[in-house]
Amino acid sequence: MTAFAPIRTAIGSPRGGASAAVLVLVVTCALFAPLIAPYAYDIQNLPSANTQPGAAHWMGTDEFGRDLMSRIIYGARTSLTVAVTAISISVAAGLTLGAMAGYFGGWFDRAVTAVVDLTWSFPEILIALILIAIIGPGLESTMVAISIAYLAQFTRLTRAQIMALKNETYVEATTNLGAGHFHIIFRHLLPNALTPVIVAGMLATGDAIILEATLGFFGLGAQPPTPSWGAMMSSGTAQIFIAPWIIIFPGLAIAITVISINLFGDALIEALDIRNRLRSV
Amino acid sequence: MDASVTRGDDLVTITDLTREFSSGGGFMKPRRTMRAVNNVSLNVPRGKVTGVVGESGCGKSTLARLVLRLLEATEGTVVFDGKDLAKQSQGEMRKLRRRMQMVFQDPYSAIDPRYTIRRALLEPFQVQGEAKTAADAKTTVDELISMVGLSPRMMASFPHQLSGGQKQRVGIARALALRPSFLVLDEPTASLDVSIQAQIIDLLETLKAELGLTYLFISHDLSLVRYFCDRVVVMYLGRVMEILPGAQARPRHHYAHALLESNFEPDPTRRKVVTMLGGEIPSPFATIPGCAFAARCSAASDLCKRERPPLADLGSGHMIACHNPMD
Repeated sequence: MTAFAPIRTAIGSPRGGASAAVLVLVVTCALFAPLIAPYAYDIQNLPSANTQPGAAHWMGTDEFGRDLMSRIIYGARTSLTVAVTAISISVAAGLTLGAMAGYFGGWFDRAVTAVVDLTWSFPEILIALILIAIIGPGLESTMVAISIAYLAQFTRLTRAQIMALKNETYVEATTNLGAGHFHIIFRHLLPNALTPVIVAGMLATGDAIILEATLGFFGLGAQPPTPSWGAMMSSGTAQIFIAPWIIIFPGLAIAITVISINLFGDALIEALDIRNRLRSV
Repeated sequence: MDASVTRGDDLVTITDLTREFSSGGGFMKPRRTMRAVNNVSLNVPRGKVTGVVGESGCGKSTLARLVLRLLEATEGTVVFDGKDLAKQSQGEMRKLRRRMQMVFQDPYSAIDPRYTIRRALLEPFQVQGEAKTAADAKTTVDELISMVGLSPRMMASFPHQLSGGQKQRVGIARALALRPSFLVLDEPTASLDVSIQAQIIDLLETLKAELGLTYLFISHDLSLVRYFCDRVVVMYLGRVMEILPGAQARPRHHYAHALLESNFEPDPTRRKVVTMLGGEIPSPFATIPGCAFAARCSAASDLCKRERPPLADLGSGHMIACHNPMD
């Protein structure tokens, strides 16, 4: 039972294989944007503004004459960086908080659960908007806002896992060998609780891309000229009847990426056989 | 107490041990307290097998955990080889745990599913802060694995690749890794097939003789207890009813008698009429002033319902908590 076997199984399924291929493409775009993009993302060329998609500009140009495809390729960078960083922070914090709350219980558990349940009762977008209203717009605050918005989910999931696992006989057996809390949590409980949390984190990355795009759409995310799929769609709304491609292509990029993440996540859940454990939240 | 069994011959001495659990409580609801183990006094003689029998829920497993301080006692003391466990610091307790180990009822969950057998067998040394070189580790694992009759080829296996009996052997090897002198066996054969049960009991007997171990054997398998144990402690509702000095000793407590009689006799010609007990076990939450068994006992008098009978010595280590013992 190696860690990569389920991933291989997931890629082997038709859904998983197709979505993995798209994800590899998106990640490649993000990593090697300067090599792949045909134009620079910030060079304005006003005479050729709102050019229709054609041979020179496959996806056309925006209202400043910038190549839309190049901007979408660079935009993958923004979207993925923000989503992946935010969710990584959120998963790490959620694992720590959830493990401590679930393992030690008592007043700490009650305090964490109260705060987590409070934030859980609001939609993520609302929490993110409130936080950005407090700390101000920008790329970093988007990351912070997204990571806090999803914290409740990972904390709850980890806590539920740990509470179920801490009653396993092997925990008692290891305690009886003389092991302390640190050993029990890090060598037994967290490794066994990790899989569903990682998969939930992956699925949340898809949602985080949408959240980032939404915040970008409102102008609260990455500031111009940094390309962000949400901000690009926002500027496209003004041109929707003159140059509809400006809003369509970034929208497609978001939709395809998020659908692929969800499909691959589903295939992974299937391969790992953990649907029940994810539902326990 | 038997004249030959002096205090120094007891590895573990349990005095007035009580453990309460409370449940419920909340808005407009009172908290309820139950005594899982109620004022139990017991000694475990060195080099012997002390059996503890009783129905499910009578506090056997709680007792096992209290003896190893896996649970804290509400009242009473457990003295292991002259040391009061409740007074030991965390570090002292860790050292003491090298000498007292446990084999668990459910071998299926007693090993972390992500651990290989090799890693599980080396974990005792890891948590005790005993670093081992690669060569050392290999010798240790080989030794442990062959001691419990497994093949060294299984070292790299994961628990799910082993059968229940094999897993229980790994559980025993893990418990013996630190060379303990005292082993608590919490129904070690309860979740195994009958044929495998015999093998595990054989193994435990061999290991006891080879390593000079002392066992506290928790079970509800009466025939097994009679076969395996030097002394039998009969528990009911968290209390000790009777301590039989030998496996063949005749029980004189009405409950112990009924319990040990209920043992299934495979030979039909030797079967006798079994006295069926009427009534039901009282709720563990109920406070019973007298004998816990009084409500179901045919010989119960008013005294039995009023006053709890103390554990009295009938001579030669035969102890009984009954106002009107059987002849």
